[in-house]
Amino acid sequence: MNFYLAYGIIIRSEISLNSLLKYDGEESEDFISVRLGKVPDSLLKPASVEKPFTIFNERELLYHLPDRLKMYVANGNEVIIEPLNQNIEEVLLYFYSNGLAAALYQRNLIPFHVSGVCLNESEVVLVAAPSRTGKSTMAVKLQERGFPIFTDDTAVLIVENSQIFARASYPMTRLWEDSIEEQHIFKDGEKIQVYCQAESDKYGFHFHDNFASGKYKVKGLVFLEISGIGVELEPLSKSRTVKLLGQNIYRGQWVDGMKMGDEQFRLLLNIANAVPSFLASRPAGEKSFDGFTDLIVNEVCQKVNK
Amino acid sequence: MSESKQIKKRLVWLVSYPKSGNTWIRLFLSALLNKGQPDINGGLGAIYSSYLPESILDLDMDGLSLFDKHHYRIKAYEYLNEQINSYQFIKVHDSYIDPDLGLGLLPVKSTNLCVYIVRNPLAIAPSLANHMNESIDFVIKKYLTNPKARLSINTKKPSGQMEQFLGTWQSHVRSWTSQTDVPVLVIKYEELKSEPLSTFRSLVEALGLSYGDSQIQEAIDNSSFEKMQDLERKIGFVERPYTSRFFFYKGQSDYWKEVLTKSQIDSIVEFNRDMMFKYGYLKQF
Repeated sequence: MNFYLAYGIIIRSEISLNSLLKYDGEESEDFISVRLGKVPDSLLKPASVEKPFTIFNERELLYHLPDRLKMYVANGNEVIIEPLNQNIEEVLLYFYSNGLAAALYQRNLIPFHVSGVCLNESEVVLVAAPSRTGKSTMAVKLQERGFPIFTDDTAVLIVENSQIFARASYPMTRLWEDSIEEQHIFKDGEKIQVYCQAESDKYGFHFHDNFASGKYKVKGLVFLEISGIGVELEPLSKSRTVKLLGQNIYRGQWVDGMKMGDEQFRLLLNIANAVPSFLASRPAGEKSFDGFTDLIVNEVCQKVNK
Repeated sequence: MSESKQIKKRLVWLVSYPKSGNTWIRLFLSALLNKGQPDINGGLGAIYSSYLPESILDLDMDGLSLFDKHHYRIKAYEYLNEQINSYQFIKVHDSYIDPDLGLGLLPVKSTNLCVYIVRNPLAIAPSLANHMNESIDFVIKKYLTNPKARLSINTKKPSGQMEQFLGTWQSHVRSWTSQTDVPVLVIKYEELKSEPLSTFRSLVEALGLSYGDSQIQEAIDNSSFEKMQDLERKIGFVERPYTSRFFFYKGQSDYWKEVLTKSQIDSIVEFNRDMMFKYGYLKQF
């Protein structure tokens, strides 16, 4: 049996999950069990949402991507994966994304589309944006400026005593070929092909040795946007922070069907109240991230760290 | 208006070769359905966008093969059709068939109408060149006369726009007007300019919408090129490419006569002769 950690939760898996951090801490009754097996044909209780590949209610989710996998996630503690082809690493991409996200929602946790870096041993700045806006690239550029990686692409945010904390997903950064060419944190020889059938070149890099597996206080939140003709950064009001946060919930299309609307509302308000937030914009087509990174380092990372 | 939940096919595709008036039609419809006021930066999906299918299918489109992207996108739009209760207008620049995939582009059972806007390729050339910040020779060679022309090929980093097969202008027109899977209303850009009321009225009638001439005229006035140009300068336009300062460029049907050389005209005609003649852009075959 293999034990791992993702989003601060122990994963007990009968298969290797190479992208996750190995866990060798204390045993716990609270874990997500992952196994290969025959996935049930239907949910135990009526579905609240039925989509082409996804059927779910607040306690169970079935995902069936033809020729790739079937997956069943229940009660935030059970995942059954039925591969439909031999490429297990590609199959597991859907576990790392949809499988883990479903288990989080079933545990009343909300994942966000954020990358982030550490300011010190207990605090982080997060960068939020939809896919293809440059989150991962920005996190790498901030690493080049001396800020250790916290997470790539997703993290869970939680409220404790009116403060906001983040738990990182797992130690893998995914970058497109052009971003790899523009950075010097990760070595080309370490890259792992992420997608096998796509015509685009996206690669993964592990950072297991540097993974921040604990609970980190969120000191700043930067929303990235591609717009305008120059590089700009502005502080955000609480209402705009709530709005933008709502747009950056990972698998946010599941919130209503998971009956998480009230929890989402409470969480977004708490984050907007507690965390200084900024909107950083850069023009489309701009190749260099350097000026953009400098702005975020000077106006966010250094100021919130004081 | 007669639009209702009883309509089972709610997807209306606004189709054209790039820079042929697609956005104009969209803004007109936006004005018509919004009490005369167009929403310049909202309200229309584009079939090339990855975001809608990703949200419906719960996956990352970048991880799929080109075939699966197209195949699954059809499923996503079929699902969308079941979730909405009024027309959804969606912009399309693709050819109807991608010859490398052999797949039709659209969910046939969910498609109410395709509005195909045809424009003189001689007029498209300078407009497309400005849009892409490229030379006229470049867009003639790479797009209008290229049987393998594609838009948004992103191998190093996807932009959220899926790859679109265009082909030559002529093969594009032919692909849409000769297929029999989905109904097509052909509208000429030049007639939108010369006879706007009757041309836009034909669109309104084809959609089964109940608007009178005064409402149609109001929507035409409020979505005029000049008004959109002003609005873009005031509040910006989300569809402006980063390669060009403004989306709304000249908007003149005959501007090409001032800028195209004889060899450029000859090149466009050579590859597009049949359809140019059919649609009245060549006086002699």
